[in-house]
Amino acid sequence: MSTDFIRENLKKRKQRYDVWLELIEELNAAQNRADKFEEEKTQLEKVLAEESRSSPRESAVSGESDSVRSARISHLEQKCFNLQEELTELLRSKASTAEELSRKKDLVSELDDKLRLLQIENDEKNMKLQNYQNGAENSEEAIRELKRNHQVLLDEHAALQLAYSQLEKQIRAREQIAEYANAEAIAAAKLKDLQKKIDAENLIRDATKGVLPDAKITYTARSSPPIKKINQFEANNGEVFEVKFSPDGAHLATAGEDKCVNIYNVRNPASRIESPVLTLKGANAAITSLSFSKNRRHLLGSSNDQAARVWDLSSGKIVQSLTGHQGPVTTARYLTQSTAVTGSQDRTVRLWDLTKTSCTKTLWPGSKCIDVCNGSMDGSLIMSAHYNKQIHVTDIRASAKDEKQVISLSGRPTGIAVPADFGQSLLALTRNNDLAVIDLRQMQVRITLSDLQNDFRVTADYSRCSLSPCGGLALATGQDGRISCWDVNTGRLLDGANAESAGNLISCDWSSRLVATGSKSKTVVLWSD
Amino acid sequence: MDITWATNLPLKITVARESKDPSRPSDQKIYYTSTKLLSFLPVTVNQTRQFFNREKETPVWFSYQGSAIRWHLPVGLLLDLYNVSTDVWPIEVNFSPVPPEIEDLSMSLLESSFCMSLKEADQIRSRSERINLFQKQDFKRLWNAIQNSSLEEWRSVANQLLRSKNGDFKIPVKFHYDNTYFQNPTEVEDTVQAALEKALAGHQFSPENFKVVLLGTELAADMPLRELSDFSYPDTFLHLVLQRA
Repeated sequence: MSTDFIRENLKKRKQRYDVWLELIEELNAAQNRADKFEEEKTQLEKVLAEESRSSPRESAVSGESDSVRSARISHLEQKCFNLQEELTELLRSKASTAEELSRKKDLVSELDDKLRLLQIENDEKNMKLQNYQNGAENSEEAIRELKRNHQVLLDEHAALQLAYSQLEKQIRAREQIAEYANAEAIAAAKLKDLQKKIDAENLIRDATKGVLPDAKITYTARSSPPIKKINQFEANNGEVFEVKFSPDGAHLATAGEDKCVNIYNVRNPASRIESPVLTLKGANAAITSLSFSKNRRHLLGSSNDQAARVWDLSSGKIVQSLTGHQGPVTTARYLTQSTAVTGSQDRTVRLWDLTKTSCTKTLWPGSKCIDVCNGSMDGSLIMSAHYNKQIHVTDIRASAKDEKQVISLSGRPTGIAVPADFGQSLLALTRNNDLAVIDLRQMQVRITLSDLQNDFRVTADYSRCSLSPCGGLALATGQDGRISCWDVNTGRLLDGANAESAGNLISCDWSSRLVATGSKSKTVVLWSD
Repeated sequence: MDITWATNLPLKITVARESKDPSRPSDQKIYYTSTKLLSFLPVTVNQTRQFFNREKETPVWFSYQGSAIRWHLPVGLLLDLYNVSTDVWPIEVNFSPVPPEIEDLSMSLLESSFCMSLKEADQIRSRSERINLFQKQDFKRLWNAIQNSSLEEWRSVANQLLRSKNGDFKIPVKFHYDNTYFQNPTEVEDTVQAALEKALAGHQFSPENFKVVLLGTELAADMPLRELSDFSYPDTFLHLVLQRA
């Protein structure tokens, strides 16, 4: 409510008053006129009465003026009549004014009704306004409440933020501490490595002074094979799938079921070997084969987790992962410094470009690949042993039509070996418990080597065989720690030995004067002449 | 303010039964006339006498519903006070000695009564600071302005009282009830309710029993007095009427 409301009321009141005032004015005017006529009438009547009183006396006094008098009388009568008429007219006009008055009264009452309606309407509107105002007040209250809640939440949020930032700071500090610790550990490891290297250098220096003879002895048929057991140690936790000497013969890499590659210093093979100088990790399943790169810096390993990996030997970290096979990778070999070949149980043999870490070619031999060998210096010839008793010799430079030559064996091969100088022969160990010597010029088995009197039996489907560095002698591993040695050229069994404590042997490698064998039960045995 | 000044009230005057003279047929007549809302009833005395053919010295007073009208108050205030609901105010004229509860007001008495009220209002407003500067002709001009109902003329004089250089003046307010009125100093920011409570302080009435009426409109309790100053009467008082709720 404001003063406008009062003003509005006053205005309405004034309008009503004005209607009445107008009526009153008219009424008073009419009244005045009526009064005036009334007065005039009484005066005239008075005059008339006087005339009538004086006229008989006058008629008596002067009879000759009768005609004049009668004319005067008639004139007066006329005048009187006129006045009478005027009076009736006035009365009529008065009646009409009264009528008008009543009409106006009706009008006023009508206006009153309207006004009342308007007032009712007004009241209703006011009520509504009141309701709205109440509603607005309620909502304002609600808004205030919400604002208060919001403020509380904001405060809480700020507090939480503060706590959070503090925690974060603590975490960062902890991380930094961890990083420092890590760096320290790495530095310590490096230091240890360095120490080991220095130790090794010292050992070599000592050795070259006369402990070890010249390493470049070539074995011939006449020389005695290295079958004297000189050392035995536990290398991998589980089967030792592959043993491999580094190209300089100073280190031995062993790979096995425990997903690790251990590298041992074997410069002093007879001395006690306890822990590896380096352990390569990262494979997700057993490692099945190993291959050193030509420059000795990298080691290639295949794994049952369908991948092959390249480790950097200086850092011990994985530098490349060759993935793409659909089954366990049985073998991985370097062809050249930058190319490699892998064979898998998914019935493919793949060629890899290690500079790009990509597969350059896939061979489809149609059977599970058991072992692969590099057959030439430039890595263009690939020999692979397959589950269907076949050896495939593939020339990857040749056209697709005549790139592959197939040699059939009597038994399923478990491992193949080529001489280090890539001579004309290929050695394949088969499940028939014999070694097939294959002439690569004729592409057929030249001679079969067996050791029946010593009951030489192949241990597993993946048992390895090995050739002496110059290719003259063949070596195979068998059950009960049996190791047998043949002359490749004559096919004569030279010698053999048993290392029963080592268990069933499955893998072997031949360095200049050392032979290493790995067993199904953790053990690695070093043999020498 | 313009509207209150411009409003005329229709009056219907009849001769009271006690004063009717059977020998005078004019006493049966009805006198329709009008008066200004902010003016006073005594202004109509001479015309009424004339209408009913009375001598110049005949005493005159007016009554409404049997009681004498306190005619020293402005007509607008009387309407509120007697709670007149009709548009035409039917009053009766008495040609007998004025009863003791009201005064026999000649125009000059009325004028001095008005001036007294004016001074009283200014005492409240500015401790008579302004009214003391007034000269006789200023009062005269104000009185003439009312009689001619000329708002401009009234303003030209009254603004000297109402205009304030520093802040607002207090509003002089009277609460009329029945034959008396209540009055107490108010603050500038007071609402109608606050002023009423102050005015009734020390009396046996409690404010809840009343509604406050100004020129026929009931006022909301929370209305600030300052907004109502526009509806002050020419004596610069804000005359409010209490009616039983």
